[in-house]
Amino acid sequence: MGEIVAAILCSHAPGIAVYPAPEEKRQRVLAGFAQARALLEAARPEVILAVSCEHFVNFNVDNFPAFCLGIGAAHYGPVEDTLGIPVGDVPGHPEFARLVLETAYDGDVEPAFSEHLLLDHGTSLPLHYLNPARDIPVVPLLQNCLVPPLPRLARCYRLGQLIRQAIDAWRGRVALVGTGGLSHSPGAPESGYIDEAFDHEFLTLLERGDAAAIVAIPDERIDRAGFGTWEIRQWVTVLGAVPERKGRVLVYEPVPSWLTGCAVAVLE
Amino acid sequence: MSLYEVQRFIHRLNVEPAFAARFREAPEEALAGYALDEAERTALLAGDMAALWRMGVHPLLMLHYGRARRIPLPELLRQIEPLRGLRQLRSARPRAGADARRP
Repeated sequence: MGEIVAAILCSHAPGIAVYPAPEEKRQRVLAGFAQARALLEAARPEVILAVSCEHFVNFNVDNFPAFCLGIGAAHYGPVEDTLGIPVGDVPGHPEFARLVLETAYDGDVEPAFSEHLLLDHGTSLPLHYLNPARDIPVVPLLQNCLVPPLPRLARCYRLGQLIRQAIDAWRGRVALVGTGGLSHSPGAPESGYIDEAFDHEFLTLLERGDAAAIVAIPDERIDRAGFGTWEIRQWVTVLGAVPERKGRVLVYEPVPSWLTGCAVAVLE
Repeated sequence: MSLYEVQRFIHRLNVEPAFAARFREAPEEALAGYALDEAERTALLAGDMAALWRMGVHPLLMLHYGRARRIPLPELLRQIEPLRGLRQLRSARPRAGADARRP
């Protein structure tokens, strides 16, 4: 039986790597990532299932899946050449990816799939901090948090449950990483506005392990926190795989110059 | 007028570095072949972020366009800051008769 040896949730704002910010804020966020990295290293995963979202890299509105799983032997990224992160191939794990895909289909959720996904800051930036050596194979899952209609929170949670089923049926050690959010509106005139009240409410529910309340957050409330907040779907999907765990927030820092309410948390 | 065509163009800038370089060097040439009206063409040639926002370009594509055209982020945000509140970005299902986008 497979095992989920770590479940890490974090923001993926490119600003963390490239935009200026008050030094103490930067240090606190990076310290949160360093803590998560130590946990990940101690957990010795054989594969990381990394849940992020599409940002107009693989897909455009001519063809936009709700979910897409990277099943290839390698992925490529990050596509941005401005992050200061090494660009190149990232090893995949086709066997585990196929199992996740088939298990999802058995459970009536049908993600699209790709033999060669492009990765961007959404996956590459957190993994740069969590596994800089890039020596752990990655199965990327991209969710549509960009162009409505978006997969509903309950659907993301359901997909997480199916990911858990796949891991239970496997033999290996799996780390789950969910990236995105929290409150932000990048590229809109409202860029830099951070709904701290939303972020604190959300993190409190996570710490309580109240998945039902998280899945029930009204879309209208999330919209008020900014369209980037739609990315909490990645946190919800991971939560669906480990519903018995509660969140421990390693850091939360609203950073207007990074245009994002930045958090790093683990589920344990 | 085709917002789809504008966004299709910006998407290509984002995924094809050589195309983005061509746009910086020979912008008119890069735009040829896209079915754009005069206002769209002018905004894309001028780097007029406010005009792009008004016509409904997705915020992420605003950033992709700015990066491809080498517009510094603070400058991009300065251009659109006065347009706060102009558009409501909603994931909630629109009510019957409501327009999710106010151009």
